[in-house]
Order: sequence, then C-alpha cells, then structure tokens
Amino acid sequence: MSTRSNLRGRLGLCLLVMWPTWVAAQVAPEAVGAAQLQASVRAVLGTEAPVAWTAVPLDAALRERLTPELKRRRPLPDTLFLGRIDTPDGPRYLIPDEAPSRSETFSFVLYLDEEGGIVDVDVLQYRENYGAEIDYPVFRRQFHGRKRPGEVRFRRTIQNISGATISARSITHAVHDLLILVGAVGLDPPERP
Amino acid sequence: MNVSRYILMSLVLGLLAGVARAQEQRATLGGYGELHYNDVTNTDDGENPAGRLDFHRFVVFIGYEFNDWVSFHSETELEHTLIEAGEEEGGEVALEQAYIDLRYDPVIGVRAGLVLVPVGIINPVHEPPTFNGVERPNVEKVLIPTTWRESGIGIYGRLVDRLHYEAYVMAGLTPGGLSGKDGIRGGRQEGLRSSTNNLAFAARLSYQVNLNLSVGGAFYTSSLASDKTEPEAGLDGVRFNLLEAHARYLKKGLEARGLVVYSTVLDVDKLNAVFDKGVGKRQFGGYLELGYDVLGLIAPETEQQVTVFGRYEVYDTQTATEGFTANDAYARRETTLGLTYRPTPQVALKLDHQWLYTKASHNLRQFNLGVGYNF
Repeated sequence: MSTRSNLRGRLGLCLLVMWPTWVAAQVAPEAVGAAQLQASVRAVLGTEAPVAWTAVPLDAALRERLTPELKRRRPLPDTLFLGRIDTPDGPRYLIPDEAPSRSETFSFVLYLDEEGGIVDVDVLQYRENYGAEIDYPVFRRQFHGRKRPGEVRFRRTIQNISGATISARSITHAVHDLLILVGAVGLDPPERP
Repeated sequence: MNVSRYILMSLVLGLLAGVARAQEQRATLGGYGELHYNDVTNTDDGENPAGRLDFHRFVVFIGYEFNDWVSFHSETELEHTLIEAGEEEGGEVALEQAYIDLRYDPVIGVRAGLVLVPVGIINPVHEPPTFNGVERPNVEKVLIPTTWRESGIGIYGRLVDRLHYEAYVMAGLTPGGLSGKDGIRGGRQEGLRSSTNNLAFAARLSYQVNLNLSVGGAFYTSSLASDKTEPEAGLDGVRFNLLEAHARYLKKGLEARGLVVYSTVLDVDKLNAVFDKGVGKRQFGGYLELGYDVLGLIAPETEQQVTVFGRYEVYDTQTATEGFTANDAYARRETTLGLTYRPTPQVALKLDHQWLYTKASHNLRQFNLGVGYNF
C-alpha cells in the first residue's frame, strides 16, 4: 500500500471510530437527571406526583419507515421513553430528549396532553450563553397546543429568536421528530416485554 | 516521506484519535470560517487595484464538560491561512477564547480565563452566518475592536426572566496602542502576557422584550495609567470609558439591528503628550441595518433564506480632540447593500457593495463576495 493510501486508510479508521459518538438519540429519563426532571415537572405541571415510565420499542421496520420524515439527521433510537403523570386536568405525557446547541448539547422535555397536544417544551439544562433564549417562555409558548408535526416548522410556525438561531432550529426540529414518533406509536403503547 | 509530512500526519491522526476519545468524554468540537473576495472598485485617485481572495478566518471550537456545571470552552483561530509569508502579508494563529465556566445556578455562574469583552452585537457572537455583509460592520471593528478578548474573571447568569447579565474584571488596555485612526484597537492585550497595571471592568445587560425584540447595553472602563513599555510615563488619571446600546428585531422575514457606541478618554492630553498618536478625546458611532428574506415570499415552505439588506454606518475616532484639529479622514460614513443566501442557517453565501466616505474622501467603493459557515 502506498503512503498516501495508507494515510487515507488511517484517517478512515479514525472517522469510523468517531462516528458513533457524533450522533445523538432520544434519551432515557435517567440520562437527563432525576432532580432536574422532577423540578421540571413541578414547574410545568405543578405536581410532585411520580412519573410512570414506559420503554416503547421501535422496531427496525418502523424506524426505517419514519426516518425519511425526520428533520434531524440522526439514527432513530430503538426505544422511546414515554412518561405519564396523572393530574387533575387529565394525564400528561413526558418525553425527554437532547438536541445540539451551537457547540454543545442541551436536554429538554416535551410535555403532551391526552390528545397529543403540546403542553410545554421545557429546557432542562442549557450550558452555553449563546442560544439560551430558547428557554424563555415567550419562545416556548409558540409550541403550545400544536399536535401535528407539520404544525411545528422552524421560521414558519415557530419563529426564530434573535441570537438563538441554531438552538431555536434545533429544538424545533427535535420536537417535530418526537411528534412523528408519538404519532406512530401512540400515547399508550405496549411496553417492551 | 519527508519529516514535515510525517509530523503533519501524526498531528492529524493524533487530533482525530484525541477527538474520538474526547467525544466519549463529553467533549465538543465546532468551528467557523469565512472566505472573502474584496475588490476596491474605485478610489479618490482613480486607481482600481486588483481584487483579493482571502480565507480570512478558520476557527476551531473545543469544549469539554467536566460535569453538569463545570465546563471548558475555547476558540482558536488561524487568520489568512498561513503564517510564513512575512509580517506584512502573513496571517496569525490566535487564541480567541479559553475559559472555564462554573455554572452554579441559572442565576449565577463564574467564568474565568480568556473571555470575550461583552460589548456590542458582533463581538459576543461573530460567526459569519449570524450577520449580513461579507465584512463585519466597521463600527464593530474600530470603535468596538472585535474580536475583543482579554484575560479575566467574572459572573454571568439570568437575573429574572428574559434579563441576562455578564460582569468581568479583566486586563485593561495598554495606552501606547491607542491611536487617532484606529481608536483602542491597538490597545488590546489579547491575553498575551497582559500587564495587570491597568485593570478594566466590563458589564452587559441583555433583555428579551418579546419574541421579536431584544435590547442590550454594555459599559466598559479601563485605566490607562500605565503602559507596558513605558510604565513610568506619567499617565495618572488617564482612563478610557465606553457605553454601548443595541437592539435587534426579528419578525417573519424582517430583520433589523442597530447599535450606538460612545467612548471617551479622560486626560487625553497626557496620553498624547507621551505617545503623540493623536488619540481623540471622544469617539462616537453607530449603525442601522435592515434586511428582508425575499425567498420566504415565494417559497414559504423552505428554510433557506435570501436576505436583501442595507446597512448605514457612521463613526468617528476623533469626535472631539484636545489641543489639535481632528483629522477629517477619521469621520467616516459607509453604506452597504447586499444579499445573504443561507441554504441552511449555518452556511451563508454573501455578496455586497460598499460606499465609503470620509470628510476628506468621497469616492471609495468596494465589492465583496464571501462564503462562511459555523457548526
């Protein structure tokens, strides 16, 4: 093998090793932190009630069918973690996830009502200065009541906020994709055996 | 294989392997860059110099999350592609940011290291796709010397909903670097063995009024009482103060931004007596920019943008002088008209034309093309 092709081979090997760590996936509730999750539930739903979690399997055929509809380029996870809390206003559903900001990753929770309408999108942990405006209620309110993925479109139904373009687009796409997943499996799906 | 190629290959492989390991440990990698084509199409003396292509900036961000509240951020820049072409034409490698964040709470965090001075619109966020125009607004090059960074420590956080603050104590300006033409730009120490004889204080408030409008302002003050090379120059009482205010508005396809900045040098006569660089007693400037995404009108489904924009700038580094007459060439007005095409929000292809006037010159025009990215 020539020196040049040897170099290419080594570069390719490094990229291959790095690739799995570059992609994100819908996350388990423990990955975003129990204390932060509880604080979020308290702030959004005003309850200390425990969350009942369901690990919903997403089989390969379903993932393959849904992938072309996604806004974010990432492999679909094989499990969707769906939380449920019973409140006086009816059941509320939680989906924790992560999305990229300018140069880091932030975690958030999508809250849905029993009809699948968005109750809130709460940012749990945002580490960067830049783009932190996506956690302002004035931005989050734009998601309220939207049900269908087509109703969550960056710069069309969800307006950008100055200085936070990357994060605003990122969270909008992430919510869009979670609505596609929920639309496919429903809010009371069978749990992983 | 020659030695330099072997070293280069080792560095690249080492970097990639390091990045692979770092990714598993919650390290982050990002960057931005921009290629410019600048062509001065007309000058006062009628000359028409050749256009220039310049890969102006290539920047790499590296960060690391030690845990949920302690993190590291850095930004390393290569300007003008290489540094071996000599002092006049060559580029530079520079550390633009490198700091530790201790994020105790959303209300208060501590930041220490080489940090951006929190003044203006462009200095804190200067990635090419975030602003219109191939070149950054000159008000934010000359009166606010972007990219302005210094070593220091400070606090940051959210005071109440939608109100964000930053405040730092940092290395101040070095008085021998100030000049009548370029203001404080040459006085930056940039973390390079910075003298602590002159300390500076900088603070910023940013408020999101509603979904469409954000406003902010900053204050910066630096002692100029001691110079790196002339520590006993008799500059007691010499000080630089700056006030800045800005606003940004965004609604559907319409975007607007404006900024004003005012600064003053106290006891400027002492400074000019020592260094004789014609530093102005006062500096003032500002700009207003309006843009509209015309692609949204004909293709409402697309996330791509074609923004038509116009920007008007005025700035003067000798708004007031003491003991000499202000140079008319330093009272500048500029009009920029152009297009920014963003196929995705993190990539921008730019085109613009600039008309630059001073009280002494009326005929400088420049055509610019550029491509920029950040990730």
